Amino acid sequence: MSEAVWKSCLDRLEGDLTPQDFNTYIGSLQAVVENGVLRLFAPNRYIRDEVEKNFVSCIESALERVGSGDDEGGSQGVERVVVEVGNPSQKTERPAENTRTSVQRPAAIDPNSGLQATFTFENFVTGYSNQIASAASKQAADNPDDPNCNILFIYGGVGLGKTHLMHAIGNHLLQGKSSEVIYRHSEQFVNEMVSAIQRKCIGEFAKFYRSVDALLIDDVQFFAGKERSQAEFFHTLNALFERKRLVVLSCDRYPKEIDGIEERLQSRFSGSGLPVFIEPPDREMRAEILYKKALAQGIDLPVAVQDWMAKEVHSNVRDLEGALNRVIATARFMKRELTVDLAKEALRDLLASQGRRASIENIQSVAASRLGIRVADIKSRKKTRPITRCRQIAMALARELTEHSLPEIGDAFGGRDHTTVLHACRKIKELRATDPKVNDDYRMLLRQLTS
Amino acid sequence: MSAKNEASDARAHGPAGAIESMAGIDAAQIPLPLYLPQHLRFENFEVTPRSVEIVQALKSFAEGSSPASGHPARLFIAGEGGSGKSHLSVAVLRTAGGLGFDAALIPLRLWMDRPPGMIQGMERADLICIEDIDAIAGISRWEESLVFLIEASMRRKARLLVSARKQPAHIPFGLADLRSRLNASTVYRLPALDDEGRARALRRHAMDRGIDISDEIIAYLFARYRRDMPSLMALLERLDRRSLGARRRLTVPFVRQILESLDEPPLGEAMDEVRIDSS
Repeated sequence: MSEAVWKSCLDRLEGDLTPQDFNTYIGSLQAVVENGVLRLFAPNRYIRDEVEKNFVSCIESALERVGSGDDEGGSQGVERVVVEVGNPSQKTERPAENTRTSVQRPAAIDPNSGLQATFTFENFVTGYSNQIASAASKQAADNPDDPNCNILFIYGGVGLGKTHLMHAIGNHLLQGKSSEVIYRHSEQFVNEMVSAIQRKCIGEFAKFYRSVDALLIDDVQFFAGKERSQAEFFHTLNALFERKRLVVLSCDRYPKEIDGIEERLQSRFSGSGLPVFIEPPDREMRAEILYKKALAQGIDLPVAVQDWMAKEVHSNVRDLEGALNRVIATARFMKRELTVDLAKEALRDLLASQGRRASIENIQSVAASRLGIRVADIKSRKKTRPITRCRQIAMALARELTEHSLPEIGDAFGGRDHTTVLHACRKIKELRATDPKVNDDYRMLLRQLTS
Repeated sequence: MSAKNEASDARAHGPAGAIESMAGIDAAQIPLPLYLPQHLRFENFEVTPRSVEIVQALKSFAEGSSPASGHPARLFIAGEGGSGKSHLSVAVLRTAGGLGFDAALIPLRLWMDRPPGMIQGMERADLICIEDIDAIAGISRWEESLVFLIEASMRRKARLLVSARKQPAHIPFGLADLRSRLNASTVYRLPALDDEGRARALRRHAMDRGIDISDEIIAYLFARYRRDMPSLMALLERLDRRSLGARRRLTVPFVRQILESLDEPPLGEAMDEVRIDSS
């Protein structure tokens, strides 16, 4: 009944207001009619204030017109309009896909585990860039009570699979004896804590989080500058650490590099925890990621398309996902087969600027600048160690980031043979596994050229 | 008057008042507020071969077709001012609302000077439309709040439509987390209309208002007036009012007379602020 009144009122208001005001302020309200009062629920106090100030009279006027009889059902005797913050029925979050709840939780805390069942170890693509993080995650999931690894700290750039690994750990734990496994984005943890303080149940909040079997907190860098949250989180970590319960944290950087986080918390992350790093995926891994993501949508992505996309999109997994979604959407819309030509067409705009950045000349210039070598020396016949190393790194990057053939790359480096380029690529691959400096240089250059 | 104040004025006076206050025309001359949100529908969007895929994707998105059926739940539309992003946003919101979905708009160009708390709790909607996300690039509190909103909307499986003048990769965000989350969307670029497209769009919008606008008038306008859609739409609004006020049908001499009476405020930019960049 109340829905009909509000629907009629919305129809009126849509004609009275600009699309902007209607969709922004009126569209964000939820309504209930109770005892002659139209209660409008705004998502936050700012929207409530704006509606109270500018739109209540419009709403009342629309209601009067609804009540004047020319609308079906009339205004159902609404005498008053009240705007407040909140939800009409305190709707809870839609259930996450993987939920197993055993303990009664305070109202401030989401009743769901937060785990997404779709992220598992089975569909996580492992390769050179994430093998340590992947192995450590499996180890933690298999042995959550291992005192040597109570806190697993997964760090690395955006969109590289940290969240996937956390969900995979959580889902694996749920299959074992752990019953209370909780995944939260750091901001969600903060919001729940604020809500608990407002509801005067912070004690229950603390008790709940300190009693779970495993706690997974994503993007802890967002705790920066939130002192009260950090204090609460620190005590939660300590309690779980003492109970030898598994804590998995993710972050975009190494613990000591997070600005705005208390030193004791940083020490807890790095001192008591096992920090593991995830790097951007290499080309083979990117192709496999594309294949698996397409398969999850029921699509067998042809190898040629995988290879082409893996070569063209090289920053992170989210970029790959976005590109794949666009290619699939275009293929479906055009009712065409997935081919390299179609992928090129679909991603033309997306890749236009990327291509410009990753020219051989640009790679030579960026590599030379970072490694303190002159571009002319890279192209010269000089064979001192720093120059040779810089040349090899630049060749390997050119192979990874451009579509040029080996002879073309050789030509661009002072007319060298294609076998020299091949040797350089193999040498750099080998050195990246054994020499941290070469690996760091390569990684930084890759990031610089693709960010 | 700043863009923000103009926008505030637009809210205070309603659409007709906003347009006229910006154009410096006495509101007393104006017979009726004629700009109606019903004008912004999928049906009267000027679809070209280059935009047909985007429009279809947005329709499916608005209707709530499941991602499993191949329709993405997160879309990003990049297009220059006047390419029709706002027209399509309104069409999406109207369609979704008409089907009973909770649909909310977050106009960031208007809200960038306000607290990011404005978007708190918005994830409860079934469909969220974030307009002009490039407007807050570099404002760390906004960027952070948007990462949280995107995360929360994904948890709730809400649909998300984001628009900007450029693609995420080309927007100077300070927070890589925000850019990468946007990059995971299905990104489309909405091309601007050429002159023929603009003429068709203008004719269609004129027809929606019951105005007969001849080819001669369009040719006259295109030769003497700004040809971006926000400016043309604002001009159409004004021609309509003057025609009604004077009880005269539009002819080239009458249009010339109206144009000569304008002291040429930056109409295109002004209209962009009140989001009528329709085509």
